[in-house]
Amino acid sequence: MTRILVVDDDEQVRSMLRLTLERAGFDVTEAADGLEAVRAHRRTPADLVITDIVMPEMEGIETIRELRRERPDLPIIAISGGGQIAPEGYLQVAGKIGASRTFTKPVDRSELLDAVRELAAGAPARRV
Amino acid sequence: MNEDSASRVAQRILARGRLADPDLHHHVAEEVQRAIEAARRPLDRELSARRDYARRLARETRLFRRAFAALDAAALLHDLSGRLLDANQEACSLIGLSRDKLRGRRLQELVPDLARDAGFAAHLADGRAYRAVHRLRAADGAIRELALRSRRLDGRDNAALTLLLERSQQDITVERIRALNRLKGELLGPAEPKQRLQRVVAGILGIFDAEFVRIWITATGECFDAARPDTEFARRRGAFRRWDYCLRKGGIGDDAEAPPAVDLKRTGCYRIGLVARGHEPKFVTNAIHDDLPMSFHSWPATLASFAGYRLLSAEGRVIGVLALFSRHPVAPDSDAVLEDLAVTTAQVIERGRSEMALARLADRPQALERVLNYSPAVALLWRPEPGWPVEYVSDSVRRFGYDAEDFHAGRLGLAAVVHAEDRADLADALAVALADPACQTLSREYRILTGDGGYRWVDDRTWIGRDERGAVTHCQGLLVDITDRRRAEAGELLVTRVSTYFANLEPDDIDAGVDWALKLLGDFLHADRCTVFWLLSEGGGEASLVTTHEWCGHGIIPQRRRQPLLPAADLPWLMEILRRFENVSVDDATALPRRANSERDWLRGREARAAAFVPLVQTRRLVGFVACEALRRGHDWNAEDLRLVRTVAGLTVSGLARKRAAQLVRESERKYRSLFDTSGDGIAFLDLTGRFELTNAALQGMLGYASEELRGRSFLDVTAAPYRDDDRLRLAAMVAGRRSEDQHEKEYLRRDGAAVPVSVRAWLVRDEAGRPQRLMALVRDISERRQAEAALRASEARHRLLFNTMVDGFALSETVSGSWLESRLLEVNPTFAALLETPVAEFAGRTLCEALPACFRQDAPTPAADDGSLRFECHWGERNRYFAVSAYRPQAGQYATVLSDITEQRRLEGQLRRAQRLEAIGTLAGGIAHDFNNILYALLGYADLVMDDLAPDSTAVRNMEQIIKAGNRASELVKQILAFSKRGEQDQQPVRLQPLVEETLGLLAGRRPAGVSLRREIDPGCGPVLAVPAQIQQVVMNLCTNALRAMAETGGTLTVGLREVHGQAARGAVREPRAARYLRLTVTDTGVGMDAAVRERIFEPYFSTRRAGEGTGLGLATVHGIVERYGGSITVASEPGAGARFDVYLPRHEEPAAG
Repeated sequence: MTRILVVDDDEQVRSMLRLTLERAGFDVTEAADGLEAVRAHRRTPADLVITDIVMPEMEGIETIRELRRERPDLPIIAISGGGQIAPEGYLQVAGKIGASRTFTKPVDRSELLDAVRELAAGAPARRV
Repeated sequence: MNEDSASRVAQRILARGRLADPDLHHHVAEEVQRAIEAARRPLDRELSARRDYARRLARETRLFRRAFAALDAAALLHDLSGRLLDANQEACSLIGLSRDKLRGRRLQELVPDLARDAGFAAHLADGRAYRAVHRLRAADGAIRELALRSRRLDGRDNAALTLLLERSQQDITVERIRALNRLKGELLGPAEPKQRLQRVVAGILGIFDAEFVRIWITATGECFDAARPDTEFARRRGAFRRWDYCLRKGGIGDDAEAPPAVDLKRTGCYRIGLVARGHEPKFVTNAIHDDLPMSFHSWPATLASFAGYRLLSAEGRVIGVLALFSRHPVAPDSDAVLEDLAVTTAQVIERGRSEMALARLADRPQALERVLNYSPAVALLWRPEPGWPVEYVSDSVRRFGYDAEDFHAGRLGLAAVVHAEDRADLADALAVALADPACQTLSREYRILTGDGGYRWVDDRTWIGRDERGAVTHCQGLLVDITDRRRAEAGELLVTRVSTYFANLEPDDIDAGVDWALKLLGDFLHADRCTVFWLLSEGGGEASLVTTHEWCGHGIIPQRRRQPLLPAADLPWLMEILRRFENVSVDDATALPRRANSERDWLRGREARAAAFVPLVQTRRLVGFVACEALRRGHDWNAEDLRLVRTVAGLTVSGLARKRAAQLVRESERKYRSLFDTSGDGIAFLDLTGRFELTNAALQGMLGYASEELRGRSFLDVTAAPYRDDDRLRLAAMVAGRRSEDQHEKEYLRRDGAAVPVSVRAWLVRDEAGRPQRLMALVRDISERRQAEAALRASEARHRLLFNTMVDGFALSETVSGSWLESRLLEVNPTFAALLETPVAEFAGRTLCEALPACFRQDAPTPAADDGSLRFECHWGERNRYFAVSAYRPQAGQYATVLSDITEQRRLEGQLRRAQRLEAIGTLAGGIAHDFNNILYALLGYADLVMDDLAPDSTAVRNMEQIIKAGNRASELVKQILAFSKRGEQDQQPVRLQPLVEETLGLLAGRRPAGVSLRREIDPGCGPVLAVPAQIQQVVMNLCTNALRAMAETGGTLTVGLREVHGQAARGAVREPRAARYLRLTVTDTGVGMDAAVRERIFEPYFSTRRAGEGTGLGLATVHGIVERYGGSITVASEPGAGARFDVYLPRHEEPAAG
């Protein structure tokens, strides 16, 4: 089964995503921030990462970079709450440094699942 | 038949015609003819004889006529009454009338003197020859002196021929001189002097044919004169008494100006006066006058001479004048003779006088003796032998205290009574006189001892008698007591000395002069002490006497130091007399009356036995007195002495007064000199031609010239050229007296050429007689003043400019009570008036309370701050303007008020506040959005999950759908909020608005409610803006949506406009328009409109008048945010019920120049 690492500091978002992805047939690992995400990935490498941008300790951009370093071909999806804290520019940057896809919250479920299935299938379609 | 009848018959016959018989006729005619011729022959003979005679006569007459006409002299033919029958050419030209005019006139008319001349009348009566010299008046008025020779014609003609022979001047003169010399002879004749003098004047009158001749003796005032009978002089002798008066006084003043020459009488008097006073030896005036003075109007002559000759005594004194007034000129020869005559006349007068005196002299010995005995002279007869024995002496010798007998008896000789000191000199003089045989008299002055031991001065006139051999027989002397005379002379000499001395004394030396005068007095009077006491009165208080000068004889104690001052009240008796200006002589101090006790004590204190006091008077006030004291003995002060003292005292007073005056003058001179020298203003004295006489240092400095360089220079030289003409006129006016003072401003030229602006005040100075003497000028350098004035004017202009062009309103008011509102306006600037929309003039004099709209009054804080200042803002509701008022007190009693229109400021502040509010909201919103998204994501995610578990079509599913819908709405809202608060610079590009607008309108097409029409006012030529197209679209969309909503119920027109405007037009909308041009997007609706309160807050997020469910409430806020971010702005204009208009300004993007 494809393992997805979900990184988000919001617990409800995490649990929601877990349920959604599990229902869709994926294995989910959670991490509350970037550091945790990197450690978790080392322990249990994932096939896809869905990460938030604004997080404490190591925020999303860093996380993406770290993960990319460890596994350059790891597909990463970045989602963000937007607003003043994470303006659009961030997502662009995320895309530039390795995020295969970016979404703003709230994300349409079907769009997200499509993207996950696409990326997990192995074709790292980079679309930013 | 006689010839007459024959001819008559013949005539008749011939007249009638022929006889019947022709022969008879012929015969008769022949006979008649013969008879007539026979009768005629004697007649013809007589006729021719007569004709010859007549011709002869005519020829003789012609010859005579020619002779008459050709006569060299003027000849007049007249009858025995003098009526002219004929005149020859010479006579006509001499008289100046034609023959016709002359015929019938009388000779006496032409030669008036003939009428008076008895000789002429006699000549006419009995044919005596007549010769005389007369004057003829020609027709042209000329007078000619002619010799007339008249002769009666023989026969029965009763006519006379008078020849008028002109006399040459020489003849006249020679004759005159001869006559004058004859007269001179008469002067020296035997008759009485008076008679002789009278004869002389009459003679001169005749010789000169003068009008008036006078000999006038100045000493006695006697006059001897002669006048022509028919002249003014004769008629009005009395009129010349005044002339006498003038002459007696020696002319019309010595120093009076000579009268004008036309006034001959006055000139004559004046000139005669000069002669009488000896200024001129004579004067002779041969003057021509057109108009003679009134007194001489009867005198027809055109030539007048006026001569005067002085009469000199033997000693050369002028004793009289010989004056002559004549129609004829006084020729030089006559003048010489007249002068000679004058000399002789003088001699006659003098001799006459002495002769008369001598005649009066009684020459009787007894009378002489009587005279001698009672006269003050002493006559004596003495012999020049030792002791000078006296043979005879008159009784009057007792005046010297001697008895005549003493001398007669030989007890006394002359030598014994002569003062020892004079004896030797007298003896010497006598010896010299006696030795000289020609010497007859001896005159000496010497002293004669008087019986009481004194002496008297005498003047001795002695006549030395000699015998035939020349030996001296006796001396005859006359002694005259001259003691008093000598004393008087000495006194006069003293006075003269003193007065001369004082006259020439410098004021500083007057005191010494007074001392010296006192010494002279003391010596003369044989006084021991002479003192000047001066009376001082201290302003109405007690008067005191101060000793100012004192002289003491040898060994006498001066009193000055001992008693320099004493009250005048101490000498009441003395002062009382002196105040009457009388002298006081005290011969013996002990004998003073009782009421003079204090005086007696005072004199005793001074050791004075006798004293004389003479008052010193100045301008009729007693100013002091001179006291002469005798210490050792009593003194007999005689009146003469006192008079002398008084005179000297008078001199000292005037001398002292002069000294005082000189001191005052010096002081005032010093004062004026120092004023003159130290004055900061220039002072100049100029003469009447405008040349500098004296200038002070200030003026010299002002002009840059030294004192000598200015002296004598005309002030016009140093005056700048433009002022010279005016100055010349001013000078002339002042000198002529038309102006006495002048003040004006002008420019002087310094030596270095620079111009100095000055203010000059000049005036005319007159002397005591009122004549212009000089000019004085006061000159002030006004360059500083000018500069100051200019600076003041410039400053005033600057301040006024500032005042008038200030952006804020400014008002100056004065207050008494200290209240700002009650202060009264003094001045307001134009801005103040404009801000209050009232003309400037209406503010004058009103209080602020009256002048300002009500809102000011309400909002003004009372009381004001401690220093009186206040600041507040108020809103003028009627005009919807906001004002800021700031008032303060620049000085006590005044308020300065600054009024600023802050409406615009307020508006912009409002805008700013709004923008800030919106920004804040945006920031907040942006911050919240992120977390919201997270929440929404979780929410929606779970909702999806729940939905998965629900049966489709179940109620729960529908409910879940609603939940999800709500969540989506929330997500949209968050997006809106984010969009509103985005700061991100998405890709901006030059975007042309026209297609965007069209696109948006297309999108809206479906949403347009019915009843709403669309209108476009889009300028296709508008340029691009630099923006994100989606955002622009959002702007258009939001505005249109808003507009449509507003018209949803009422319908109307939606108008969308787009045009490019100039940067300045965006002013007022855009805070700080930076772009040169702007695009203006206008969206107008005709909906319900907004009121002011709504307008104010329309761009605030969630400020919405819409019901819930109709949009997010962020639409306009978003638009506002976007527009502001692009550096543009949005404005709204709307009134309730009148729709709304939104204007969006966006800066036009300027393409960089292709290159």
